[in-house]
Amino acid sequence: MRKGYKKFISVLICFVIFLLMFTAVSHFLMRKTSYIKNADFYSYKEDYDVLFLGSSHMVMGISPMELWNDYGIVSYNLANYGQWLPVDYWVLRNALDYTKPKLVVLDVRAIDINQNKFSPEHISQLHEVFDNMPLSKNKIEAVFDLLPEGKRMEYLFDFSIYHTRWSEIDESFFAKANPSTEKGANLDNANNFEEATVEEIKPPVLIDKDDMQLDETTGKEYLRKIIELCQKQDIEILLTALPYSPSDAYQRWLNSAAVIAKEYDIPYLDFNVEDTFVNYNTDYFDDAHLNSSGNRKATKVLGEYIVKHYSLKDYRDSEIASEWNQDYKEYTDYKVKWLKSQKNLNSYLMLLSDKQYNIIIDIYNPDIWKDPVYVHLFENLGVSMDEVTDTTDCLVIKEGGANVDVLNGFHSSEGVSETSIGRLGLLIDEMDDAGTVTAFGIYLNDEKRYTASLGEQAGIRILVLDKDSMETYDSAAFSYIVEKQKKYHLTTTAVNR
Amino acid sequence: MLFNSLDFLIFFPIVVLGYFLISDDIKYLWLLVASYYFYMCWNAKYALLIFFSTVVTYSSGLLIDKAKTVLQKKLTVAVSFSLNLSVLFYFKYCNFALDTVSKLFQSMNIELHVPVFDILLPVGISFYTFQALSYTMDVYRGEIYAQKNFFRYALFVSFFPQLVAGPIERSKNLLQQLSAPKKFCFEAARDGFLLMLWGFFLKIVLADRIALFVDTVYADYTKFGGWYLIVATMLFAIQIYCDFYGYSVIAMGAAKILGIQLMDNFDAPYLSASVAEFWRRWHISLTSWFKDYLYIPLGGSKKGTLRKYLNKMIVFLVSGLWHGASFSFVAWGGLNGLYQVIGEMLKPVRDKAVAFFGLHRESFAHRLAHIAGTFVLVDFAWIFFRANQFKEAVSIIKNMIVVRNPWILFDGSLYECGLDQKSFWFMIFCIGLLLFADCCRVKGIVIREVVIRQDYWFRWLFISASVCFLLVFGIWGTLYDAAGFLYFQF
Repeated sequence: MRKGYKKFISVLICFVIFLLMFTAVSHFLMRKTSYIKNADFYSYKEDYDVLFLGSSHMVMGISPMELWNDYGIVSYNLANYGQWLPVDYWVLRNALDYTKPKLVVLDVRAIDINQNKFSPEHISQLHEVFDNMPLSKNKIEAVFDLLPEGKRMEYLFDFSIYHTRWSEIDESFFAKANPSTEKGANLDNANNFEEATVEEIKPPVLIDKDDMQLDETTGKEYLRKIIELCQKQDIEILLTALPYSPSDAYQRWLNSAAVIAKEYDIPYLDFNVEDTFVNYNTDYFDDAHLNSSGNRKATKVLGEYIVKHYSLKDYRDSEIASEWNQDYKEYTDYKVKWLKSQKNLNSYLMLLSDKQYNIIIDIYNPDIWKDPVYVHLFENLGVSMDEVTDTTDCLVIKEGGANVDVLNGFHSSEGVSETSIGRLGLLIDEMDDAGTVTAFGIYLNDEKRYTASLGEQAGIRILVLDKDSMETYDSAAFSYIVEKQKKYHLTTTAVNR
Repeated sequence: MLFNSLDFLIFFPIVVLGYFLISDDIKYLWLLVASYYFYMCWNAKYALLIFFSTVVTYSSGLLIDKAKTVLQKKLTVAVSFSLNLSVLFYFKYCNFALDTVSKLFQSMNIELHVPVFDILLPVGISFYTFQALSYTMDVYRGEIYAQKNFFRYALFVSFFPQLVAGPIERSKNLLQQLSAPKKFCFEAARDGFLLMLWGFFLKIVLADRIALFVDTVYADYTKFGGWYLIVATMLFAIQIYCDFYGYSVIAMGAAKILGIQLMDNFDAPYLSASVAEFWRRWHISLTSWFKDYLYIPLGGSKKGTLRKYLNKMIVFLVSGLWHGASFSFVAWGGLNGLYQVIGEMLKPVRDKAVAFFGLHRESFAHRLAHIAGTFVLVDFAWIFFRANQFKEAVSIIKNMIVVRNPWILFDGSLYECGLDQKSFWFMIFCIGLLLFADCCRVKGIVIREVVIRQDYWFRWLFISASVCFLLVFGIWGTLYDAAGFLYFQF
């Protein structure tokens, strides 16, 4: 009997060792993207007041961290790429096991999708949704609802697909996966610190809002289910259609969401309107998704609406503030790191539209004004073209999200100017034998910030400072040449990246 | 139900648990129900064929037992064989026979409209039919008594671990074991579990990985000529070994956990020094079946040299046909028979050559040369086994010889045939492990026993790491549809 007992213990220990080994191996081989995106959601002990749901439009369009900084709203962006409304429904059901939001904001972009079973091309996207979702009754029901037979196992037991990754093992597998600092949002290419994207797109030709596509779809079916789920749980719901350039046919689909909103007496904000807040020249990642600049604008507009129409608590003075402020600081550091990784001037200028920065832009070569792409990007920073002269150098000074000063011909002589960010001075550092200035120093409040040599005068230098501490975040220089083909085009080169 | 499926991973523990929890009196009924369920998961209707074969051979056993004259016994054997082989013929060879007749008439310019039957080949029909027939013969020969308990006998025919791909068990071994209920034995269960792990390694890590390469090359053999085909054919020899050996080992392990010892089906066949030795070590249960129930009844080697050669050729041609209803299988069987006949005919010449050159037959180098030569011969015959048709096999051999591209062995081209570089070299590493295990076997070293002799902490780590190894490196899961075992079709 005693011997049998020992054997039983032996088997048990062997099983435990196996479980430990297997857990370690499966964690090692797992794709970490889902964890990175939503680990923060599951680890947060308090309730989120607002949850954002939707597809790629929403995940790239709204930033919870900016909402925290601007309004003290505690929110999480649970939207994801290819997350159609049936998936949104299950994501929300799962989320309600972990938090009790006061408001759900749902983007209805995928209202036209008339299928709830997912095809192979969406398999990868669904993994982003499910991999980090803890196994639960909801998850099992979701997988059975969303996936055809034969495709379910890999979502319930993702090791069945990820075990093949042993042949891809590289340094990244050994790096610690840190949860995203964006609270579920995803600023275009920020994840991998790749180049930010600016895509000029054509504005949509807007049709009448009463022109609707009223066919029933699976998307609409699940939209109703989401609304009913929220209403059953006393959660307010706000429908949105974030701005992009929808076709006529798609506008009809988006317009039809108004019918459902009316049916349930809930608000619907369709931002695809004439008087839009987005700039089609500077705010898009592609023809459907907002980039970082567009994200900031959409977040601001939606934040203002939420604050105005819903009585949500401003937590900035509460006991959770220190935790969220720390998160915000990490988010800021992450954005700065991303900014510093940029190698294209247009990407860099787009990212500068962030109100957390004070900026000095030293433009030596006025050719930049010939290329409309850059004119739009400077306008996006708040620079009025009426203020700049296209024949001399100029200095643009931007204070946070507000004041912009333009100093034309600043390099022509030594001197000091009062600007919105402080006293800005230019002193000659070097002259050649003929008396020509070869290098000069730029001073802010009597502190030398950089030396600019003549070699740099073919381009532009940008100094990015922390709005509050005035600490230098980044100092970047780009040279450029302008060519005229059909129109002027600037070819830029990063000098010190 | 495949061994390498989630269904089996759920099914088997339930069967084992039930088996050891229920009363001894009904243990065999539990296994019988489990065995029929196992088979019916593939096709419920075809379980009737097993049932039919069971009824016929069970009745034949009883009738032989009661028969008063040899003639009556012979008649019963004949009826049992006829009925069983008729079913086998209908399901496996009907279309092949009709097609052959049609082509024969076509060659004589006679147009014959023969019907083509849409028949699904019942999984494992050749295995359980042969196993059931061996029972009839054993009772006829008086080697065993007829089994009176129908359900116990039905379990002998349908015992799930070896039902669909062998080993083809003998009634003397299996029926007796099934008659004596087993108590749980920790050591046997552990040994069975380790056997199953080894079987899964052979199947999902090696055979299924090699299949990715072989299938890619053979699917487009006109594109992949020369050395691609040579490498693929060498790998196919390993693939089919791992596939079939893997199944047999899993079957043995599963049975062992239930306290039942199945016969060994493979004994390091590729370390054989002659084709005859190869066949003593490859698919032992089938080879011995043919020896006992065909070769010896035909007269074996006791009716003169010529008759011996003829008998060998008959056995191997029938063995080829047993593997599949196609001339390529017949050619494969015939080639293996021919190797042995020619080998025996040339034996005096070979002996003289050895003496003339002063070679040492017992030396390692001599044996190694024989092993390599045997592998080449056996592997060449596998081309006919792997090809879909006889004509295709001929084309493959032609492409193998005509195309000259030895550089593909060095320039990375091999990594574009279904396996990337890492997977390819991992496969080679695993083949090395298999070779090591086979060498140990030949030396009489049982690796499982070596592991068990180690301290408990090593055993725990070894078993846990082995399961993790299989899960990580096995070809399974979403990117891969669980490949059926090759021998199911036979």
